[in-house]
Amino acid sequence: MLRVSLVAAVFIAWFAVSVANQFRSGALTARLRRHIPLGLIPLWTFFAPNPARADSRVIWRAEIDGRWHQWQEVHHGFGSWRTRWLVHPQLISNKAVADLVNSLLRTDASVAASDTSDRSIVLSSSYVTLLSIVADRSRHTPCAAVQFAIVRTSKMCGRRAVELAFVSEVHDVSEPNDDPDVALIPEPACHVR
Amino acid sequence: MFADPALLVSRLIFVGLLLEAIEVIALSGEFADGAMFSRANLAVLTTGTRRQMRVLADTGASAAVVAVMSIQGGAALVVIVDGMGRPAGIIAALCCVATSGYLRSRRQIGGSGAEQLTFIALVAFALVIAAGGSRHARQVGDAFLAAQVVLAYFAAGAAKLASPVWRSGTAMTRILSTEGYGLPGVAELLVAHPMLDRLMCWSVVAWEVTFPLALVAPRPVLVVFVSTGAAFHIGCAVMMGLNRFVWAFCGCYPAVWATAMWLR
Repeated sequence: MLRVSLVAAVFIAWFAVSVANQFRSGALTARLRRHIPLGLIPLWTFFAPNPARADSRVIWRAEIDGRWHQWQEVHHGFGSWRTRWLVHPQLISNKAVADLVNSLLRTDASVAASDTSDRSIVLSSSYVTLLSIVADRSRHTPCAAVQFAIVRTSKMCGRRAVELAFVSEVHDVSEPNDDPDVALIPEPACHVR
Repeated sequence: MFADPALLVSRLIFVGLLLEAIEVIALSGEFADGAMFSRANLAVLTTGTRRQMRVLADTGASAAVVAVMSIQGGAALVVIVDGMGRPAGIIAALCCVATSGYLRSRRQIGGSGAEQLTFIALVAFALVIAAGGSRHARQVGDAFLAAQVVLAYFAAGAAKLASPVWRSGTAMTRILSTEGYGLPGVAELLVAHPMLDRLMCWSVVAWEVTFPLALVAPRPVLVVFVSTGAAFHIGCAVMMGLNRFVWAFCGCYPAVWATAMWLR
């Protein structure tokens, strides 16, 4: 009975923190979220307050022999509507891209709001991760530099709407790729956002 | 759910865990070095976080992830066949706690509310077993899970109610016009019939914010809430591809049912 009471107390505390976490502004819950792993403190919003209205897509291009090549997409595909009601692995990879993009754009907005010349975004984890994904794609080409961008697309009545959301700096990858830490150190800004 | 482990509906979340294993194995290449969920990328993503947030985040490449997901698939199958009431099913369910926890830490990004609720249910089950697994402990676990489901729907409904996009009744058109969540033709249909979009938006909001009544309403109303919820999640799976929400949320309805009966 004591063990049941103890577990009941844990459940009550867990639920109380879950309720408090629905109010994002709480300093206490923010501190708790930093300590409690694996998403055990949920935030249930499901497409609210701002429902998705576009797909976030990562595109990149490489500079080879002094010439920039065409933009290419880091594409994971979209699940076929015939099968995705049952098995939908593309949802995981597309959601991961969306998570990285949302984090990057949030950081970009807060950096731009404080100082437009601030380049600290290139040190954000989402930026470095996206750059790493792109750098890996270019690994088998003799490219000197890479650049990536985020575009948001939606499709209505057969027409595709495309909106440019972010353009990265140009990154020199001409060094030997043995040490990814060296390859990913950003060069001073050659392109401005 | 925990109090009636023999019920087939009490095993639905394990169907979701089996599907998760299949999906992650299909994506195993993304866990290889250089790919999206590579160990190097996970090390970057968890830099600066607390130690407990980083545990296992950069442990195991794609072969390890495939092995863990194979174990999860097998364990989920055992629970689907045996339920969570007997030793084999209990051990298999606890095995899923470990594999699901590993995946959540190893991936960090790309998760969904379905995975989150499933993991909360699994951890709640582990606590129920730690408390002895008695009928009383299982009832307490069911009450907690029912509270989480009610909170999930109510908070989501309240967030939608506060959103001008949802209140204006254009949210479904926006969501369904994406390629990731859309269905050919449905967005166009909603554009042609904006009243239908408004009706869908307000139906979702109304159902979500009133869901807490399911715990105290008469049994026929509870049946309506639960069956509408199942239809809603099946609709989201077909139209938006949110396949695992069906198994996660409908899998927790037995806890809602048991708690509603308990409160009478």
